[in-house]
Amino acid sequence: MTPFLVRRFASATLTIWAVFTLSFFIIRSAPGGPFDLEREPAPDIKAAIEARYDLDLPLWKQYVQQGWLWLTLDPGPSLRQPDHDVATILSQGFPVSVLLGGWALVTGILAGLALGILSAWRPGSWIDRSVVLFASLGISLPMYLIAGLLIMTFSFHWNLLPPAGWTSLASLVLPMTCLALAPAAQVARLTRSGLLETSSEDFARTAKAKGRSPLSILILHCLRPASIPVASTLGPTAAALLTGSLVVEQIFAIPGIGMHFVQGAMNRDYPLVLGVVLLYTVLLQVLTLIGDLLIMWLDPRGSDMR
Amino acid sequence: MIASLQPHKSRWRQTRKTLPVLSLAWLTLVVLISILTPALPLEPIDSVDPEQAISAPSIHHWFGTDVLGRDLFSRILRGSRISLACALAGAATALLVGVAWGLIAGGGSRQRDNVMMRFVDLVDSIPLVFLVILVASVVRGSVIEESGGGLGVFFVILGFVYWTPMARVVRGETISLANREWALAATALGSSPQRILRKEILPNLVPTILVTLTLIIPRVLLFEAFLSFLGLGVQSPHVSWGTLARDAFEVLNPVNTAWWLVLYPSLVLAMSLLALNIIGDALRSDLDPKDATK
Repeated sequence: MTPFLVRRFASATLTIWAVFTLSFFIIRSAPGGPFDLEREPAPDIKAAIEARYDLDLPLWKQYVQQGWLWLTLDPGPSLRQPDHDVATILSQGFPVSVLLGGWALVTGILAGLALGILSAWRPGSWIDRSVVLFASLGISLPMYLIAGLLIMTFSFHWNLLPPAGWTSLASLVLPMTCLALAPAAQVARLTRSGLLETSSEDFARTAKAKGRSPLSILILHCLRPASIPVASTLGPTAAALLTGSLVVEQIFAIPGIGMHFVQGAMNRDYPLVLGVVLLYTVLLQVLTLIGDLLIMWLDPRGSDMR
Repeated sequence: MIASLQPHKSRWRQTRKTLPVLSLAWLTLVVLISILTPALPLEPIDSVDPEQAISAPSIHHWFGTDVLGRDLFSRILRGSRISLACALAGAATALLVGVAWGLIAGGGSRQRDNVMMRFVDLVDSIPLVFLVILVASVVRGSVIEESGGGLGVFFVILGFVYWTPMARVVRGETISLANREWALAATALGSSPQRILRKEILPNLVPTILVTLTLIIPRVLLFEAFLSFLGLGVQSPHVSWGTLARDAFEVLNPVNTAWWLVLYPSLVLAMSLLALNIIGDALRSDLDPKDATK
């Protein structure tokens, strides 16, 4: 176990470093800078501002400097919001994003598992067919269509839920539904096909011979091996969720870190953008690791801990 | 009991056969229309009519009009050109890079395979979408965009997001095909490894590649819409299905809900994605004899 964790930690560190380097140089190759305002400041003033933030140093020096700052977890001030430092901005937005994304991930997976079990319980029935239809729709509908339809019906037409903002528990419902739909569809698809496959195996037949009911065979015997594909797509699912959260945070005006990312990329707020990318990378590494540990727990046979 | 189930089941099987055909018909229609758009008698792209702003669908404007009074129907048709071009160009990039990478990794030494596939693992563990957004924001407002190449760069970027699944699938198939008798026979006849890859293995990869493409194209299509929705993709005066949705959300309000602006561009996109997914599923279950759902 320990060598496995050490290796995973090493590769995660390598990934994070690669992402840092790539995003640092990509954003620095962008034309314009954070201090390009509508009214061009006098050259010496601009030079003074840039010197204040060390933007006048050679690029490789800035790279080393930024890398060191991030290692000490103190990235310094935001370039476009001078009164706030990046750490504060991120620590305010991050809990919001994690709350939204975490709930969406959990609801999506649970709903997907439930739907998958239902449809494998009665294959070919109308339940099965509606689940298959839902699974196809869930991965085909663009998220903003779902968001638009939900807002227009539940907020504008029936006035039940707030269309935007981050004030009460009720304002969490619509964005969470939007985000959870795609994972739910994906998980339902995987669970269904996994269950159909494992339910024809010998151990399932034995359980049937013992007199277990079909539903309990599915849940108690088949679900564990059948959910391995679900666990192995946890990383990609989480990545898709992070991407989706950019759109959802924009539509529902949620003060998470996704908004900062799009804004920061457009107006060249270098440290803020780097911060968001690094945060998402770390998050993705953690979730992928959790997925791998889950697979080991679900399927102890393959635990050669590669 | 069984007799009563039988017609039921065959009807379901019939649906399973007609759905892919319908999907193919829809896609053909969309592609044909988007090719023919310049020849169709549509309103010009910049025909602004303030008196008709945000009017609901009617005989004159089938899909209604937007905030500047432009006809949504003709804008969707024009958007389909760019959206489809993005999907095709992105899929083509993914195809070229992914197939080449997979072939070279799977057809070479163990060591080379190992190195190349670890690189794919690394790329997959990066939240690539965020780097793409960074690149897109670099392209925005740079010399490339001013010289009109912005869209071209955008197409290529799209392809670089989704080449890894293709590389993985091609590599796996290459390894399994290289151990078949006919590949060994070709070696025995004196063909070089490169020749076997090109002449024997590549043609046999075509079905697998096609199935993977039907998975990649909808993702690229969706990703284009996603980037354009955030304002980082296709830029005005060009329109795509994504920018149309963006425009819709800018004027979305509870007092005067312009549902047609939200619904129609997204619906066209959703139907195309659904059609692609259905075709992909059908192809996959035809090629996979183990599929339990057949």
